[in-house]
Amino acid sequence: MFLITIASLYLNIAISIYGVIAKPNLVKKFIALTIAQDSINTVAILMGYRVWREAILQPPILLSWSPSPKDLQDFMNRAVDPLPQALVLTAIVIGLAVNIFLVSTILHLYRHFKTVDMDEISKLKRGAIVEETA
Amino acid sequence: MEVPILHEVGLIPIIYAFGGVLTPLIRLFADKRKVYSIYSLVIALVTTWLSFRVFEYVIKYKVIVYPFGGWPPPLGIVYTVDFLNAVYGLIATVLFLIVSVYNLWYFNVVADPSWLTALLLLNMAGVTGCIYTGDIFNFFVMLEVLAISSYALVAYFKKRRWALEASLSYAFIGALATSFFFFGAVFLYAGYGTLNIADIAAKTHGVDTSTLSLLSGRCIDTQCFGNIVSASATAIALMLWALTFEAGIFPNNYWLPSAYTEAPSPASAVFAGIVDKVGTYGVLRMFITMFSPYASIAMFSILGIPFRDLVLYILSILGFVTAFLGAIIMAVQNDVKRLLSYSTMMHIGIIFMSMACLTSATNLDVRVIALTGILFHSLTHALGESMLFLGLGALATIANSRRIDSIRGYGRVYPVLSTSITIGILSLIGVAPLGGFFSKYTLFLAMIGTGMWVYAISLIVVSGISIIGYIKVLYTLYMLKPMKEVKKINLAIVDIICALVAITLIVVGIAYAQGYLFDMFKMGSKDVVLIEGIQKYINTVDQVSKLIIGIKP
Repeated sequence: MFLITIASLYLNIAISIYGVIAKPNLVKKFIALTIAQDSINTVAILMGYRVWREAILQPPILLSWSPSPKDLQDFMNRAVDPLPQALVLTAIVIGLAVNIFLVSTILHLYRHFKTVDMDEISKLKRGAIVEETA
Repeated sequence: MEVPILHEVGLIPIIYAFGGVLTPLIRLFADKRKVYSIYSLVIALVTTWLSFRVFEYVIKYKVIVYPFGGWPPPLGIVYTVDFLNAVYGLIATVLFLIVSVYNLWYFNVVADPSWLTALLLLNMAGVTGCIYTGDIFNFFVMLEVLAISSYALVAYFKKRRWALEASLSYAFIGALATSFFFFGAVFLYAGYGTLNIADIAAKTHGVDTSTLSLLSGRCIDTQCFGNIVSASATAIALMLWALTFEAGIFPNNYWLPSAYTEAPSPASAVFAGIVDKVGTYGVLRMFITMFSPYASIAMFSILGIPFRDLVLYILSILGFVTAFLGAIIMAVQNDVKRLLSYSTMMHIGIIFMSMACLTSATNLDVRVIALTGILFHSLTHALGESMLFLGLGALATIANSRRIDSIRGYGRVYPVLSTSITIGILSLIGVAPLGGFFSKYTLFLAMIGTGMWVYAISLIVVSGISIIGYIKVLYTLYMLKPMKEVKKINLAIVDIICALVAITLIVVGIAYAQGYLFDMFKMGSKDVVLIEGIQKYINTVDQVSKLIIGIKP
């Protein structure tokens, strides 16, 4: 199960890279980019994950206010690593800023060109550059 | 100062960031063009003074540390400064000082300077944060601050369609590349159990640290938190994409010319001067401190070449391609700022080309010379290129067109500015008494010392090809008659700042030739490259950690 999850996440990342690079439509590119970001974040959380099977009902937190050494030992065995989660939280916030910027720029681009197809826009650009250097 | 903690280091990015965030307040209370330019000038002056102090202390004590919030190093964020970052930090802050003096003039011609001020300050926060930080994850965060503000600066003139197009083609792959930098950082954490550069360096070199390893775990052979060999290889592969993307090295160079062309002139100057050097700095920090030739885990061999050296060779080949591409395409450009962007590409290519001299096959003296050359070339290129962006950008703004034809004959109308531009161009070509010659010569010496004759000759060939493009600008400036009667506009501020930079280029060149600067750079590079330097880097952070936790040795 664990391996299938990891493999499918890697596959997700690979497909979304293909989407960002190969799809001409800017909105589709954008969707692929968000999928890539989310898959990477999930892999990051998975790095700090710990398989805990014995008592599924117990959450990975300390259950008593004044823990005995044995409680602490148990806690150490079942607690997940909190640091990747903190990293991912930061990455999500940063991703939010990037995504909002991208969406608003795509909107502005649409107002100028009346299309979100990158192939047509780069055809226009090639024309402009040839004209400029001629 | 017994323990090398210096608060100025932490202040520099914080001042920029707060300055940027507080700019909208000025918009509410004192919405005048002069206020914005003076505001950013004050911030630039303060930070330049602080970075000079940092540089002074680094020369004295070799390594300076600032732990944020008083947390001990592997747990909290630390800013660690050795000679390598001190030089780049100095370049960054001085460059921003130049740009903000220029802004005294530029803010009179741009429509709404408030957002430009905020974005430039945030960009500088990202740049200085990336440069001074001693923590991989903080590097990622600052890289994103830098990247987002750069995208926004490129799209600053949102009424121009090509500016938006340039910004998007930069931002899409940029966002993907920085996400992969984060992925690489996660792999490093999974392998080493830490994100602190000094701690990672300690683990790759097998140095025994007293306090760092107490907090992040000890290693048994190649097993720390996970397997560090595979983790490092994956992390290097993933992180190099973002770094070479910011630097604009060959497969990732497509965005650079359009982005630098469409950005406002001060932003172009900052991009060409320091933003692409951040990528260079990241690569250097990775392969000089973290995965140095003394680190056994980076030296497992692939195809008979140690892994680390293989990566550096590949980078140098990519740099070689970039340099040739930049020099050749530059010759056919008719847009003044696009020509300068290709020239930037060429110089970054030269810097990456000389990374072949940092491999473990090279002897120590040559490696020191190579690093000296890279640092000095970063300095002279930053000064020369950004001065050209500022000066020619001002002329293009006056002529209301970026075509080279439209500035014909301006050399006679604006003699001071044109003389400074000429000096800048000559420095970039590499003419003898100027800084650019000595930096290229140092790189040439390093390549000869390594036995890389192909690179050494191609360095000269590339400079030769680039002359075609540069001479076109000079010819149009001086030889051709103006198309129509040119009305002289008062450009006193631009004149003064460009002339000052030109004088600096001459002074730097002469001081380097006399040996003052050369000795300083060489001593500093030696401290960074030697195994003792890396040990000092690790030990200083360790010592600070010990001091904060309060364990007596």
